[in-house]
Amino acid sequence: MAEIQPMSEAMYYALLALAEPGHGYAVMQRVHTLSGGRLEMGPGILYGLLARMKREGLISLTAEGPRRKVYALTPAGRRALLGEYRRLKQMVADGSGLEGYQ
Amino acid sequence: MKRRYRFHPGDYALGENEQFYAEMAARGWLLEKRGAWLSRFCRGEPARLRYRVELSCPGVFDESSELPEEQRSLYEACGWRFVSRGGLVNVFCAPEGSGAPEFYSDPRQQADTLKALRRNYLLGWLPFLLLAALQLAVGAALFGGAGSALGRWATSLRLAWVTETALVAALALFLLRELSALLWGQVHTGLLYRRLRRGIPLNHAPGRQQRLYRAVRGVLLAGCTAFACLAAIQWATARPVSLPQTPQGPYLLLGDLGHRGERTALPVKGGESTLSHTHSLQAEQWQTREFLQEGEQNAWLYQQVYRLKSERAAQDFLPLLLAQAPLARDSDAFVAVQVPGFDEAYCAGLECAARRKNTVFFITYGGLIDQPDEQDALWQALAQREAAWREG
Repeated sequence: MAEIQPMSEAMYYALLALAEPGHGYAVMQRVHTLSGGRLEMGPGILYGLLARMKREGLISLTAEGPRRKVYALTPAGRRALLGEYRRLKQMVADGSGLEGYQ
Repeated sequence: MKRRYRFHPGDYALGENEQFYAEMAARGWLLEKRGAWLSRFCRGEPARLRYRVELSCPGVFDESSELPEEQRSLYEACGWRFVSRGGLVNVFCAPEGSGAPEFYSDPRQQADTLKALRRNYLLGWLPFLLLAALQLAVGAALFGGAGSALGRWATSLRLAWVTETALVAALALFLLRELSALLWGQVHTGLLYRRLRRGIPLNHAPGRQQRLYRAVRGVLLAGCTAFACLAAIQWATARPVSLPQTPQGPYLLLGDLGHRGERTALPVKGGESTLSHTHSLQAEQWQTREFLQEGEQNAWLYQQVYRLKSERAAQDFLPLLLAQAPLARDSDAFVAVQVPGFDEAYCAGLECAARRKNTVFFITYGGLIDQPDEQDALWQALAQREAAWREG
């Protein structure tokens, strides 16, 4: 498995969106919702990301139709996502002293 | 339904292609099919459409360069409609203002899709390089070295430029067009790749940056087509005919050299007595072959006569004929001879060549095999025939 920490923002949100299995378009919509509309992920980027995460064993196919594939996190993907979440949380905690800064 | 074909921008010009199709749609011509060079449009209502190009990225040995079905359906779920594919270029469209998201919000990701296109432009040089290497290798084997082969190749090309001007011009323009397209495509794909890697987004409406380049390509294509048509017409109207009993040009017949006999045909390809009278853009040409049966003996005579546009052109042309002489095979084998009525003349065995002003003669005469003194008779007869043709 390739080095995946620190993750790109797009990959973090895509993994987060796949906490529940879903197809590509659903992932795009969930990313939009999860980021509060802050992150717009184009279908080209998402397709490349899904292909890369599948290659790296972070996600796998759970169902496959003629035009749609449903993906879900693998245990490795879940570990990677949790690891990144903890890393980000730690970084925010480390910077908590900045709260009072103007 | 009315249809129209238009040359589209090259595959490397992603933004130009998108703008081109959008402008055609605004004029009521909707993209139906994208081919290698041309796009087919059908008549429809003028529409404000956004077109986007996505490049397929197959592996080197992949048979199909189609976009994966899942990727296509993902784009369609986002509001894009797949229109057509030509090579690596997949064209999608969506109505203006439909809210269909751009394929790539990060240009760096889009840069990766150029991989197969860059590879294609690089591999595009291979056929030309292989052909040149093969020709050089065969030439080197036949003529004892690459330098000698290149020299012979250059001589053949200069000869062909005079004798088949239109064909050589058509091929040269075609090659120039194809090689310049390869080079242009390679350079532009490289530049686009670097821009995207630096995070500069693709310009979906780049304006008319390619206008000059497209005009040059159009001129090259028009020139190539015109010369190819001319070459085809010249070829079709210059089929060899049976050699007339009286000369129809400044060439000799075996009768002029004292041979009396019946025309015969040798049992080989090209064994008939024929005349081929052609015009290239630089020379009027006569080529004859004649075979006579004289008792038990055969007499034969091959001739090439070229009337060029100028004396200077003829002076330059004669050494090329000597260098390409089928029997002597080398201009050094020819010996200069003084012949009244000609500006220069040369002989080597059965082959003789001469020039008078803008007319060049190359003669291969079987009678010189065992009677070298026949040379004088040959020159005398040729001088008389040339003078007769010139005067009347």
